Amino acid sequence: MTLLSGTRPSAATPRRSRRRAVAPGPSRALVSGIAIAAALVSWWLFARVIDDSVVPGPVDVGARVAEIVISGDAAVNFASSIGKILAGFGIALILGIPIGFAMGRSRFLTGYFSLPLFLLGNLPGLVYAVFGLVVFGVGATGPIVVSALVSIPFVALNVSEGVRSVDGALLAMCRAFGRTPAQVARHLYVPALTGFVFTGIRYGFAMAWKVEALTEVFGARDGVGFMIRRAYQEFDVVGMLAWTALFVITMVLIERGLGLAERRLFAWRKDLR
Amino acid sequence: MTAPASTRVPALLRRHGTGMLAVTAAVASIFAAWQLLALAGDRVPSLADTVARLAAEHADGQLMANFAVSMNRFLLGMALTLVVGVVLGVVMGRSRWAELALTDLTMAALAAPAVIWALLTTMWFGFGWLTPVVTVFLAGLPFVIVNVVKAVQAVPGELILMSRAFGVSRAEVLRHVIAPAVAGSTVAAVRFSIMSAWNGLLLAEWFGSTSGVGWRSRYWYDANQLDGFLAWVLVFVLFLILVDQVILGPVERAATRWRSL
Repeated sequence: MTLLSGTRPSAATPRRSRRRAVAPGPSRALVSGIAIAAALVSWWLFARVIDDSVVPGPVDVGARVAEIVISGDAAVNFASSIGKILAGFGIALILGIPIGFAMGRSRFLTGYFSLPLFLLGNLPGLVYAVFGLVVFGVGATGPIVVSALVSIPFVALNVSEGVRSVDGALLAMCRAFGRTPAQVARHLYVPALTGFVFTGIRYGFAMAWKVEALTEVFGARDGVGFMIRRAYQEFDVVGMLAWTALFVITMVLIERGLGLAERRLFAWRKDLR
Repeated sequence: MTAPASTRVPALLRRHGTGMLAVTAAVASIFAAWQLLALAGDRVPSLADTVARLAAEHADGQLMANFAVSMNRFLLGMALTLVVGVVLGVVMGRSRWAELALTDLTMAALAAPAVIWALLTTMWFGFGWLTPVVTVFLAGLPFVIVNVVKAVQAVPGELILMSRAFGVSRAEVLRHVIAPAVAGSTVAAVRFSIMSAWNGLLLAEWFGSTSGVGWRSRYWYDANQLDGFLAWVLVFVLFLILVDQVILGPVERAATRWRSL
């Protein structure tokens, strides 16, 4: 989703960096670290005051996180979840790119696909989770299909935007100089689309990750969502919070990594950010 | 890539004015796909069965009663989200310290799935009204904050410097410079926030409630009556389209009208 972008909006960047050049502001890592530490301390105090097993303190949760990571459970379940998401993403790319291309080239198809894509992108996760469980049963197929369905709109809409961004004058010139469709695709469409596809992947990933985990909460044999569900059924709040913490950390790290890769790969393009 | 993908669709519908033909064809295709699924797998009930069940729910009084209960919880949670989110967002947008301190925490909250809030609140508050309301609040909050911060930061620094030079009070700056800029993007934020909060509400009612739309859809699911569950999915979908097209669209145009004047 746009909201997760690791980079600042382009309008704010020059102003901010200029200001920083004049007067170096407070260090981001330091202030953020202090704020997170303060949040942890108030959580700890809160847990001490409540003193109930449903509100465990950060120390217990941290210990459990370490335990999960050391025992290898974290690696196994995250690998399982990420594998399902990647498989779903592959399907989403295969289906989403042609849809997006068609939408970029035809006004009628834009109108035609708008409603289905709006529905796919906005259906509550609950509906997807139950759909995956009912139609495909407990197993890997449900989460894979669900993450594909969730990410198709992000891929398709970004590709259609990319196709529309292709310079019409360039296209006309290609035609005038008798370029073959393969050459047009290779030198005009591919460079124009890669950036948009990447953006679609980034936003779609954040969405797919959550819905995939939710589907695992409803029915799976392994994966992060399944572990959260198991902890919930055992009234193990420490376990729930530990898995959630790992989930959040992994998601933020992947998101940062994708953002970094995007800026590196498309540094040559000034129009993207 | 500033416009979020899900909000771009209705905008496209308006801009291109593709007319009823394409949309009608799309609706027909969706129903055709549904019928195909119903014929192919015996797990999926047909459209006719689902609509009949929905009518039965309405005749039963279950439809309006549960919807009203859920809307109460939803509106209460969203009101809290908006007040807290706009205040935090404006503070973070105006103060560099607040931004640095809270951005990472907001990102973490954004990454947390709604289901975890639903499960935790169920454990904390049991089967009362607090469970769905707190879930709605927590699921919607980070989206409002992120969008309001962006909007506040997009206010030209020169305007604020000039206001300061002319001795305009802080309250006046908030009222005349920042509020109009934030109003438009708050509507955009609300759109995302509503989608996330609505999902949270359904999950909270699914796991920890004995009334509301989420509970009712679970009732049919537990009874292994999928036509009942799908009838409620129809309600969820109609609600989404209604909110997006009928309520938020006009509100957004009204809130951003000053820009085109």
